[in-house]
Amino acid sequence: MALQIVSGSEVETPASAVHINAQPFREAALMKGRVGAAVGDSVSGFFGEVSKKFQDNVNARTVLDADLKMRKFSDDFRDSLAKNPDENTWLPDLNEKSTQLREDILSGPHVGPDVKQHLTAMIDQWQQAQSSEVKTAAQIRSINRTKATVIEDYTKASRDGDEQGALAAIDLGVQNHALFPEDADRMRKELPAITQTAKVETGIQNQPYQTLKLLEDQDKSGKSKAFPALNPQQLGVKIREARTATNKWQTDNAMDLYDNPPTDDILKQKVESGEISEPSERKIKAYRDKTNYESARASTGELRGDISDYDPSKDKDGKEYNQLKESIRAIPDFMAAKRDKLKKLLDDKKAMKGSSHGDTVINRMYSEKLFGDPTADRASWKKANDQREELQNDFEQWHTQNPGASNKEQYDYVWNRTKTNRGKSIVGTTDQFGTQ
Amino acid sequence: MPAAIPIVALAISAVGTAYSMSQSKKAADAAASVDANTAKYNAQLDNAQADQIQADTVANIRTTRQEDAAYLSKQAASYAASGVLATTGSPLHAQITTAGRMEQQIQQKYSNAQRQQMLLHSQAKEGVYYGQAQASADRAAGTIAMVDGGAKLAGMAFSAYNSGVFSNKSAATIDPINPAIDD
Repeated sequence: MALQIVSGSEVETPASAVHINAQPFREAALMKGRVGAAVGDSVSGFFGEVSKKFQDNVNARTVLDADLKMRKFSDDFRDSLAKNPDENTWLPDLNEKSTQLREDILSGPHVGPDVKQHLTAMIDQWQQAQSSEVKTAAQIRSINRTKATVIEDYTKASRDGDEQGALAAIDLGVQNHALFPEDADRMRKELPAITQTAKVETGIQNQPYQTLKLLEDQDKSGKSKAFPALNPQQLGVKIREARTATNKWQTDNAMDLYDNPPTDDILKQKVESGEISEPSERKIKAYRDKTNYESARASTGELRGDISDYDPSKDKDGKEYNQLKESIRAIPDFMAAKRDKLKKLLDDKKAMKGSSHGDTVINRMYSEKLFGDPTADRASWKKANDQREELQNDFEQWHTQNPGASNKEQYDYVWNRTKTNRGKSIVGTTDQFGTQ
Repeated sequence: MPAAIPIVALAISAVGTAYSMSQSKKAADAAASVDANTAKYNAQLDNAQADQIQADTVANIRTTRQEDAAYLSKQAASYAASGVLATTGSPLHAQITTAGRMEQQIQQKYSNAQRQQMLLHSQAKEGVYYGQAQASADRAAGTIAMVDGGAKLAGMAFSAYNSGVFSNKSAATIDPINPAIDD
């Protein structure tokens, strides 16, 4: 509203107000908001940090928990491999179980996106490492198994003397990476000695004499011509073994011959073939001769008993006499004296036309084992026969001088002679053999 | 329920952010209001000042014309007294010249007053515009604070989600200090 003009003067109405500077009022208005914002920001920052730290703690625990589970799984799975002989199932088994563990971990109660991403990367790396480890272990197991099979084949073939088979086993081992080339070379180099040793051992077992001869057949350098791969030490050992086996074989062969000693010609052939040794030949011959003699001697002893028991009065047709005579004639020449003596005894007996009572008593003493048990052993048999023969000889001599002696007189003579036989009493005092 | 702590802390943090947003917005609105009212007041003041100048100028022109007429009248009387016919020849020319100069001065004053009025009106409009712009800027700052706060809340929620705050399925049963680890 303009002021009333006073006429007669120039007016210049001054301003009745001034401009307002809004800045202080604006600052005042803003400051309240700033204070509120500052308080809100502080509260938000503090509790946001608290929330983050707590969650970080939870996340760290979740990750550690997963790591612990994975380590435990690794240990358990590694232990389980020892109980699973089929290495082909190891890797599939690992994949299945580790995938299950992955799902268990990732579906856990505290797994947020960040933790899940971290755990996924961690499990991926862990699974890859586990897979590599198990794959390597399976391959090592497979290679070891192949290696064991190869070595087993190689060993069997070489011990059987199958050199080609052993070489094939070595090649198979190299192709399947079960053997290093240098090992294969070493095995190939050792193979001849092994196969030849195996042949020697088989030979020693089955044909020791022939094997010994082959071993002893050596060239100028001292190597066996048949088994050149054997070094001097091996050759010496095998020769000793072959000698031992040959001795045993020859001894066994010789022992078998004692039961029925062959003739000299056969024994000579056996010596030449190495079947028995020369000392064994000599022993067998000696044994054979001695056995023959003793056999003849035993036969004459028995024949003497038969002659003593011979009663011409009962032999009406002379048949028994002829048999005894044939038996006497069969006595070998080296017992000619004995043969003549028995022939004379038989003739005397026939001339007397009866068996003497003294002979009967002596034979009964023999059968009653008064001279010992002739069936007990060879020594007892010999002793009994020797005593009976001695007593029979004495009685025959006495009876020749006393042809009319009665049975009582014959008995007394035999009894008294027996009691004083070599100054020893061999029977009791009982008249157990009769006087009639 | 120790495992609920992250969620509770996160909620408090969110409340703090929301409070900050709210206070910032209120302050911006208040500042905008101050800006607008102040500009309005200053504009009214400038306009009133311009109107006063108009009134003063009109009054002063009227006074000046009256005084100029009196002067010319006195000059004519003076001519007449000295036997000079004021309506012819040089006196008339002199009077016309004087009157023209006087009116020219009046027109010059009026023109000056007009320019000053225009300046004040312009200043008043400019002040309003300035106030409006300042208020708009303050409101925008409030909006920005709200947007910032919202983004901060969203970021907090996203970060919390990623870090697994909301994945604690069995949070109520697990002790973070001494957790029971599942075999």
